Amino acid sequence: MCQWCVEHGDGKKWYLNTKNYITKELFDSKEEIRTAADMVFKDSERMFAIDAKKAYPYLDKPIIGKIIGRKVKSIFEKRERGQIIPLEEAKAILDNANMAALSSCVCRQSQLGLSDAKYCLSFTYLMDYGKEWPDFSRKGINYISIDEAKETVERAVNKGLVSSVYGFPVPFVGGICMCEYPSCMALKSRLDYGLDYVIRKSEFVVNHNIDKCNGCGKCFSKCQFGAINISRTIGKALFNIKECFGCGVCTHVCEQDAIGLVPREQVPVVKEEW
Amino acid sequence: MRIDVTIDNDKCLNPIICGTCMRVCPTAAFKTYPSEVRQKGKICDKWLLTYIPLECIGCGNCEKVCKEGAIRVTVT
Repeated sequence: MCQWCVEHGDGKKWYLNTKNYITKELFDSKEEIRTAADMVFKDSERMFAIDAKKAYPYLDKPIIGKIIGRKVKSIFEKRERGQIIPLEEAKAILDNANMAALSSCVCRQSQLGLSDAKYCLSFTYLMDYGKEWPDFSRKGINYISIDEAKETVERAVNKGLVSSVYGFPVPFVGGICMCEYPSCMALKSRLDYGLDYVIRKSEFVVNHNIDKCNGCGKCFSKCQFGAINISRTIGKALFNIKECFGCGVCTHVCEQDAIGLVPREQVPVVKEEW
Repeated sequence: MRIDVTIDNDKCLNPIICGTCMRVCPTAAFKTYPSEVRQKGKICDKWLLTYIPLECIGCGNCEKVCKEGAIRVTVT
């Protein structure tokens, strides 16, 4: 169990605790949810473009980098932060939620110019607030049923997109996104700039049955984190579990049933890797 | 090696309507942002294009696909 689950989960995972789902009462009573939502709907593109341009070149400098890194961290404490989840956990979250809405992805709008790429699922009251910002919702918001939402996530994961859950801020569950490196700002911040507090690895890690593997390479072509290598010598896939984010995309493409997921705390090597 | 990308925002069409350059960038180094601070209930029409120098690898894809000639990549 990660630190977020211990603090906010009440014995469950933080994103499965229904107490944390944003309702109208919670939205009206908690100032920090409104602040985080404002930052997403209002300032996201400016932050990606102007603030990132200012801050990122200095992150690997010895002294100034530490100061800027701490400042960026304090911004992200108030903003949305997320955790990668496998498909099954995304479905469990949708089972707990009672309403889903599909909206355009802010990252893809900002970095690919696509304002109609609908890849972000939010629940409950948040999207009604998002409607008040027409630039965020310029292509409209689709209110869909829970079954349609589950289908959407399943289609995306089969395509190779990574699903992740975002807190507005943690522990208040805001929504599920279907992300892709490099056009996802959270994955990019983590993989390119080492800002590992923006998005966490999932509660699971890959479990590979090497006897069943035939080295077809389907999992290799789907992995966004470079954790898989196909050994030409033995003709099998090899998994680097230290690089594995536990997104579970590779488990759905394997035709030999050789890949599964196990809880992270059962694997001593990556127990403390988040 | 030094990579310079000059973006002419006057020649550029609205990047969230065209956006061809952004979609061919292998590192997603381009960013677009509204020209004014957003107000509640107001749509911003003019969006500006910028890029993060650290992420640019100087491949020149964007220069090739831009029909308006708004982007110039020079590698020296």
